[in-house]
Amino acid sequence: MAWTAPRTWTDGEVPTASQLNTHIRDNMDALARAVLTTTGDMVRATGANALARFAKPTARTALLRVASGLPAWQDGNGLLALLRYAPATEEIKSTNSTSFVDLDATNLVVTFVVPASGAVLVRLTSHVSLSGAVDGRWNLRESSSDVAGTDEEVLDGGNNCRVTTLHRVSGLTPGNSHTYKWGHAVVGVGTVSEKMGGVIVSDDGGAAYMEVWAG
Amino acid sequence: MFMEELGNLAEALPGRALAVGDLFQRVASGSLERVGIGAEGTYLGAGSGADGIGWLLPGGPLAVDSRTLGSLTSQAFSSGAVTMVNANNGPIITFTMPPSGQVLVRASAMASVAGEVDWRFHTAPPANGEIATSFGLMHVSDVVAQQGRFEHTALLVQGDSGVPLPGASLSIRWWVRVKTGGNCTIFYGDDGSDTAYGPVVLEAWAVA
Repeated sequence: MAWTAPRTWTDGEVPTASQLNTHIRDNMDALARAVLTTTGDMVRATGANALARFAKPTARTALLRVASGLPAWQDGNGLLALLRYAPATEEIKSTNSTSFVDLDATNLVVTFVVPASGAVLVRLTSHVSLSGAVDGRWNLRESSSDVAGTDEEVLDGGNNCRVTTLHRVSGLTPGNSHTYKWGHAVVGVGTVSEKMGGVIVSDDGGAAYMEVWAG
Repeated sequence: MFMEELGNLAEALPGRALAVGDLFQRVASGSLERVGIGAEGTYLGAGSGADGIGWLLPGGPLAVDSRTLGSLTSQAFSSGAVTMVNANNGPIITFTMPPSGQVLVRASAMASVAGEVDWRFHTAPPANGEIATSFGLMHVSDVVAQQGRFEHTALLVQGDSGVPLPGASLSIRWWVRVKTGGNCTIFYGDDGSDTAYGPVVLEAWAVA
């Protein structure tokens, strides 16, 4: 409802229904309270004497910024999900599979909501070792499928070390929820193993991490 | 009738504004309520609550220290010891614990590792103690040194040994443990050549 500059009344004036409707009812309908519909709503000006509903953002990481001269919500480029897995007794996850399998479908899982950009950065960190003449590989998995474009070699032909990888996954639908698991596989005959958890005074692996950032 | 209209006016702005910077939102009851103005440095966001919006301190970088020299140099760590990384008197980071009580700390450098080596974070000065949850095994068992750019990440959570509550200051330094029989060397420096090692870097990121 458009705002009308309130009338200046005079002594003895008898207001008409039209005047009351224009200057009281319609102006009331233009006030902030009348344009709000949902919890978290704010109001913002869309012009002189004009207020419009400004809904709260859906993403937890959204922050208020100025865009095209107006306040607008934008992804804060924040951390969408974080997992530290550090069991008190060290666990070793191993496979000799040449196709990707989950490291641990129960404990090495992250769930996130896709930001407005439709892209996320997923960082994986763990100690990894090989036995046999193999290359070790990691990827991301969702349900029983491999996430396209995330297959990556992490260790080549023996030895061992702590590895961090970064995958960018794009083309996702903003607002949708995804649950990613950590996959591993080998190329060749042998085993890839990840050590995680344990205690500081031993040769235990330390925490494994899965991080999901707005990308 | 007019009293009802006047009642509506009492619900309207600016009658609800109490302080400079006040913002307002609708709440679950349908009322218009003050959000107010947040603390210095906070941002307006949805937060984790079910209701409405609020002023938040978002995740982001808290402190970064990158150390290098104009010549190529290295620090070798003694076998059987736990030793502080000292690259041109650092790196060392000092920050205030964020409201979430959680901080991601990362260390990265060109390094050579063999045997059993782990990297870990201590509060600074070192005498204040080790952060027991912060260790990460870099390498184990093989006697052949592996050289490359290594990275270590640790999530520090309030209540873990050495990790204070939100609002408190925390200084972090990076230590290396080499078990007997192993070795570790960190390389850094930039002499302008195409074989320069680059910096050693220590970062802290707030978890929102």
